[in-house]
Amino acid sequence: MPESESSQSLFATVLASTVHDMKNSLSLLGNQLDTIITELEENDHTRDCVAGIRYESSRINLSMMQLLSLYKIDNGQFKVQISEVEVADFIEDCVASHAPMADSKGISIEIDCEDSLIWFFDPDLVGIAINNVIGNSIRYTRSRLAVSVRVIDRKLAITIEDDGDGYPAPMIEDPEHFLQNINYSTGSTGLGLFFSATVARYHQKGEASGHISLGNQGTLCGGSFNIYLP
Amino acid sequence: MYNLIDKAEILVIDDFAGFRQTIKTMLLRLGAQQIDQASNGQDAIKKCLEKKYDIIFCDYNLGEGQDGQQILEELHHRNLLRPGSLFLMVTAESTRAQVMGAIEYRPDAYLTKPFTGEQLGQRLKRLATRNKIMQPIYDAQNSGQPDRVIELCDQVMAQVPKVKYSCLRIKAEQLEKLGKSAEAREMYEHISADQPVLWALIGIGRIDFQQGKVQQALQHFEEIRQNFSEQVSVLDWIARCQQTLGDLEQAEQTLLKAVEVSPKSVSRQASLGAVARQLQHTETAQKAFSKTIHEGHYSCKLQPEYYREYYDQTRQLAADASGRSLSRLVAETEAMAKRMERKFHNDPSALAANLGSAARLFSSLGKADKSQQLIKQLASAVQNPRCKLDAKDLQYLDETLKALPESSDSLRKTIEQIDQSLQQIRLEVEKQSEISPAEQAREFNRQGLQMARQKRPKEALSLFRQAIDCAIDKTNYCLNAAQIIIEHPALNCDSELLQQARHYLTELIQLEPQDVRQKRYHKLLSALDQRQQSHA
Repeated sequence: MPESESSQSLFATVLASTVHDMKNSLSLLGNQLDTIITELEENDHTRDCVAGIRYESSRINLSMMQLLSLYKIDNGQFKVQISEVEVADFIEDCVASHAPMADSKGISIEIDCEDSLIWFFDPDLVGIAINNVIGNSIRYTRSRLAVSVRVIDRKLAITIEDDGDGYPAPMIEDPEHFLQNINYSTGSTGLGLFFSATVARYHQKGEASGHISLGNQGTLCGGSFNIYLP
Repeated sequence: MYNLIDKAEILVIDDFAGFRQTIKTMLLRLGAQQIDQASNGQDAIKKCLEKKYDIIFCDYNLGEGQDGQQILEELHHRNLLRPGSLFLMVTAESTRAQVMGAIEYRPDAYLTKPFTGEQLGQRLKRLATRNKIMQPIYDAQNSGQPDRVIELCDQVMAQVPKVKYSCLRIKAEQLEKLGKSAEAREMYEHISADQPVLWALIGIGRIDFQQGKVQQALQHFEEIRQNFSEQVSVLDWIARCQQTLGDLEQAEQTLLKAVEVSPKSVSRQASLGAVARQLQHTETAQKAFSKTIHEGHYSCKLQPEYYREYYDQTRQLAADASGRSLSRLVAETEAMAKRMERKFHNDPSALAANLGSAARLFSSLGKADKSQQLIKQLASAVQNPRCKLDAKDLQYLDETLKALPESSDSLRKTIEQIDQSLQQIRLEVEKQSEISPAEQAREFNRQGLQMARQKRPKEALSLFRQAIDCAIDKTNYCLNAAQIIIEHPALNCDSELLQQARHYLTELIQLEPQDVRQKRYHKLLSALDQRQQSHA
């Protein structure tokens, strides 16, 4: 069916360029907001307000990236681009983009990662996944957030823990398919988890493939999110 | 690093003023003071000619004109990047695949949009640290000491595991340069057995290809393609293997895929044109050469002969065209000829190599006036004493001129004139090809000695180097080069040059014990020892 194929690829192009345009605007918006935040006095209450806008704009950005990626998965156009990643730097980058929001909410973010660790994965896709989780955790945590990295069974394990109330039980049971059960009372759609799980699964090496898991027994006594990459 | 930034000369290249301003604001907040901006490749090159920058931010996708990778290549080619300077390629997620494949010239880092000021600050800080760690290796690379490079790579990665893969890569590439392909291949095998490292995987195929195992290399590259489908460098290699194996149809398909992923590469479009030409796929070939010239307008990779390839393919296409498609070809050709005249108005060799084909095309398009005008330009180009043509150009021109219809007496006269000029150029070419490399080396050496007498040590050294490059028995020229470095105050203050002198003396010279030059040799060597000690 050449006709439907070409209209599908036209749609993909239109979608990609629209997302690209919107991301450009959002990134300008975000940077201008950063400028405003740094220029406001520490005790100015509008500062929190602006930080809130900044946080939401970065969430829209992430959602759009997820949308585009999920659309590509649906079309079979989705590809991971494996490259060499210095993991400590990668994690620092992820955390740095949340610094303005975390600061304004008085949340401290700790990183535990061996400085010399190098791993091979798609830093853009895993970055979106991680950023999403950090963003959510900032919303639900009380005062602390910890990102730690280990190598377990020849897989890179990135763990994000908070001291909030933890994940709801149904989410923990089946995090990869939580998407089907949108919870309108909390506003959580599980889209981020679905995306993280998909990104992890597309990372394959030999027989091994990646996955995610959730728990409530984190070292900070709140929720804990884990992504494992072979 | 903040004192790195506040003294740094910074250039921001982006076609979108909003983003330039954003990066500028971020940098100002990080303490930067000297920030210039450019909106396209041409502007950027111009700025880099005026000033050497410490940090360059370059957006990959700059709309019309050169892309970020082309700018990076151009800067390398023109030697406008200072060693130790940072080139950061700014990309969007959607373009990362086409950008990351660059194998030959790589930026120091890729920055994916969007990023915050804090992320930028961290990246710069890390890059500065990394550069500091790697600097001794870069220095050894720049002063041409391959053994030292390898030794340093081993040392540095043992001390700083974080830069392991960068060191491994440099080491393996150095081994390849030294002709130790078996050793390099083993390294690549070892690295890629552990992790899917693209450059190591490509390295294996490259070595197999160079050793003539083309079928094996092709198979290997096809396997890489499974996991790195969007990587154009892999596609380029597949096409090259297919071409070598004579499978032009497949090579054309592969190159078509590659230009779809990354359409701006000048040499890739030219390869596609050449393959399609051989297959007599005139339409594909004409389009590819048209793109080659279009994308290469400001590029160092544009070879003058791409124009005549374009004219010849267009002529063949025009033979079967009529009506609207013919008038489109006429318009396109006229624009192309104007573009060529503008680009080469000061380069009689390039004009001479292409004007014949252009004239023949115009004549077959029924534009006799324009054709005649171009022939007259050709006559004046070949009379220019600066016009240099090689044997291939000459043969090409001969054939083209013979194929031109001789419509008028005046035209016939002009062509006779051209023939005479070409005859003269031909004689010169023949005379030149008779000079042996040994004679050339002697001539360079003679000029070098003259420069030395005129107290122009740098020019002298460069001439001695040219003599070393083309001579078979290099001894005398190495002695001269080493001596001018060691003895001249303008040169012997540079420790890299001193190291080079050592390379000349200890690695390129082997003297028999009874050689009369022994005394001079040892005198130079001990003077060099003293010099280097006083440096240390």
